[in-house]
Formats: sequence, structure tokens, C-alpha cells
Amino acid sequence: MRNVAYKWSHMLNNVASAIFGFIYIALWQAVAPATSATDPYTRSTMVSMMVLAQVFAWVTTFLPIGLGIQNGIRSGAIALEMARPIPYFPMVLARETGNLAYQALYRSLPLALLFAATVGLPRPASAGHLLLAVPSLLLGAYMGMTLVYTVGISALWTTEIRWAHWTYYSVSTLLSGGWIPPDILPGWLGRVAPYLPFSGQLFYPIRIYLGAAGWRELLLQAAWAAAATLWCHWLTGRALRRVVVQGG
Amino acid sequence: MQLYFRLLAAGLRSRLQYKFDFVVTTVLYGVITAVDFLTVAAILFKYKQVGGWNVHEVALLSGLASSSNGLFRVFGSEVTLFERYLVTGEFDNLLTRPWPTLAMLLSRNFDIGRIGAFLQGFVLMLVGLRGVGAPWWLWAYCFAVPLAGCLVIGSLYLAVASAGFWITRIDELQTFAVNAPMAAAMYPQEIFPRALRWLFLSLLPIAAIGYVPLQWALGKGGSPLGLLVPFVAAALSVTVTLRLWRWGERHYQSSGS
Repeated sequence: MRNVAYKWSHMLNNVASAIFGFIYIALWQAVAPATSATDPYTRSTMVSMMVLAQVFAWVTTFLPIGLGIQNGIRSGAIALEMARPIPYFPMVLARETGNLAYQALYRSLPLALLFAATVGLPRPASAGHLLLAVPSLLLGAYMGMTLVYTVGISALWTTEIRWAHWTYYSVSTLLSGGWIPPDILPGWLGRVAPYLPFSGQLFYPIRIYLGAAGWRELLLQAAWAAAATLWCHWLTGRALRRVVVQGG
Repeated sequence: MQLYFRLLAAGLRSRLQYKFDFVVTTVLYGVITAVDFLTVAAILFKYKQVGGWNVHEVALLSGLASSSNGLFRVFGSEVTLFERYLVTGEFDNLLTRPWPTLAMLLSRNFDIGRIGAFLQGFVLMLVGLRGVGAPWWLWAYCFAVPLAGCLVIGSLYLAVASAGFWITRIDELQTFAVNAPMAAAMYPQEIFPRALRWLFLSLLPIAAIGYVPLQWALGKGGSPLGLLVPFVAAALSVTVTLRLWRWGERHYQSSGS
């Protein structure tokens, strides 16, 4: 509900997001081959990927800094939140899910309509791929939340998380596959990047939707999501012992 | 101006009290902005050119944009965070002082760590200049451009901040009016549709910083008069946005406490 008050402001941001999309579309139209027997990233594929990246990123990548955890740490509210009978990690996830539902409705949907009216919204490769793309996108959102949760909870050790956030954001921009396919990155990075958790945020949901990926990639996302869950629970347990209420 | 420089020196001294924080902040800003260029570099590594510009030419273009932006963020970081002043009513404090509000705002926080972003852009520019085999005059010219570019970008931030006097919430407007154009400033403008090119040459003139002068300097068309464009754009945009700021200031209504 807190987001609804700013929906017009967010609509303006959607226009900015669309401009980012048009910039990357123009870039890929300028460099990608029109057709190719060897390069899977042709001009039309890249335009589709850029459009979907802008639409999907609002539920998988563009999350609030540290999921707002650092604010609770600074104000001392985290002590009350951790004292509640609900485990802290699922509680933060539940709160953020509401925010993502808002973003899907007021950010992703208007952007999808805007792209549909301009460059066109890509269709899923098949009904089967659309069905697979839904859990893939949900896993992408979950992966994004766990990564940003890690950044947020790190405030218990560092207080200031601005750096951790910007580092995460830059690395995610490069490796999530929303703006450049991770497998065309140069050298060893291009060989490793497709298997990192960042690829699950955008690259695999988009590739599955377009019919260029399937069950194998979805399982990789699920494996990373399971690992991230264990990591976040372990980190939360450690964090509980670090809670120091600031102020008086 | 004397007051501004005195406040600036005090801000710089206070920042340098924390030397370790200064070093870490500077390095991290440089690294993070370098990662941003990696996306462009990776695309050029595979495709060799974009819109007829090779990797060295694009590095020069990006370097001018990044160093200009980094330079402004060192001196004008509070302008970029102006929404907070409007929402919390903090701007009231500036109005009670006997000095111009903008000078007070600019001198409040000297974000010396942003020098890392400036240096990253500057190094990128040097790599580009070396890669294109630039003549001496182009080296000298490019050293001066970030000063004008910093004023153009600062004017965009100031225009957004001024809009805040009417609409209060401006962070999203900043994404539209500054962040998106800055992303476009890293690429040759001929790859963009006509409407975007017009936007980046007029209302949001980021193409004036690097693209217009480099187009001629690198033999890609344009006119030698293009070399004057960054400085003319800086003078015009500063004049217009200062007026906008003063006009907006008269319409300011405190959010109360």
C-alpha cells in the first residue's frame, strides 16, 4: 500500500525505464547480425531480450536497497522484528513479495504495454515454454531477493551497506544477462557466468520464454535457490547474535 | 564564491580525517564505474564496432561522459539528493541562513570519494586518446571538456532539483532526466532513433559533451564548430537552470514538521 501513494511518480520512472530499454535496443540493433547460422543472438532475438529484460527486471533485479533491512538496524526496529514469533528471513521475504506484486502491476505491466505499442512485445515460443517461464521468473525473483537480503543483513556487520549495494548492482547488471548475454562475455568470464546465480535473475527466464532454454536451466535456478535459502538461514542465525540496538 | 571555497575547504578537511575510508571509497567508486564500462567493452570485444565507432573511440566518448559526471558528483552530491531536503523540510534550514541557498547546498557535502569515478573516466579517456592516435590539440581539448561536461550534467541535476519545488518527489524524475541520458552518452548517437537523438541534443543535451565534438575530431562528419558545443551548452544550461532554481525557490512551500 505504501507504494500506491507514489504511483504517478513511478509511472514517470517507467518512461525512464523504457528509455533505458530503447537505448539498449538501439545498441543491439546496431551491432547484432540480422541473421546468422552460428550466432544465436541475432538482431531480432536481442531486441526481444532487451524488451523482456526491462519488463522482468522490475520483479527480479530492481529491488529496494538491502530490502530496507539496514533501516531497521539503524533505528533499532530489527530487535523487535527478530523477537517476533515468525522467523526473520521469511518475514522479510513476505514483506518484499508484496512490493514485488506492486512492481509487477505498476512497473512491469505498463512497461509491457508501452513496448507492445512501440517495438512490440515478444510472444512466448510455445505454451509449454510460457508455463516453464512462470516458475523461472518466480525463481528469478526469489534469487534477487536472497541476493539483496544478503546485502541488507550485512549491515549488522558494517552498518553502512551503500557499497555492498552498488557492488551487487554493478555485478548483477553485468552478469544477469539482461543487457548482455553472459555467455558472450570474453574469456573465462563467458564460460563461468552462465552458471552463476545472477543468470537466474534475467537470462534464464528470458531464454526459457523465448524457447532457447528449458528444464535444465530451470533446475539450475532451483538448485541455486535452494543453496541461497540455506545461506540466508545460516546468515540470519549468525546475524541474530550480532544485533546491537543503536541509540537510546 | 569566496565563502563557497572556504566551506568547500572545510568539507574537504573533514573528509580527509578518515583516510582509510577515503581510499576505500575512491577505489570502489572507480571499480564500480569501470564495471559499467565492461558491458560496453564486452559488446565491442565481440562485435568490434558500434555505429561505425571502434572500442577506442567509444572509450573516449564514455571517458568524457564518466569523468564529467564523476566531477560533478564530487562537488554537487547534495543536489543529487535534494528530494530529502524537500520531504523532510531540511531546506527550511538553508533558507534561514544569510547566504544563497544553492551555495549552501553545494558546500554541504564535498564527496571526495567520487573522485574515483572521475579518475576512472579520465583514465578511460586517456586510453581512448592513445588508441585513436589523437593529435596534441585533441589531448588538450579533451582535458578541458570534463569541466564543461560537469556543468551540463550539473544543470540537469539542478533542473530536476528545481522541479522538486513544485512536485516534491524527484528521485524518479532524476532517473528519467539524468540517469537514462547518461547511459546514452556512452554510445555514438547515430545508433539511436531520431526522437531520442533530438532529446539528447536539445532538452537533455548529453550529446553535447562528447559526441558532437568527437564526431568532427575523429573524422566522422559534423563541423569544426562542434568543438565549441560543450562550452556553449554548459553556458546555456547553467544560465537557464539557475533561473529555474530561483523561480522555483520562490514557489517553495515547506513540508512542515
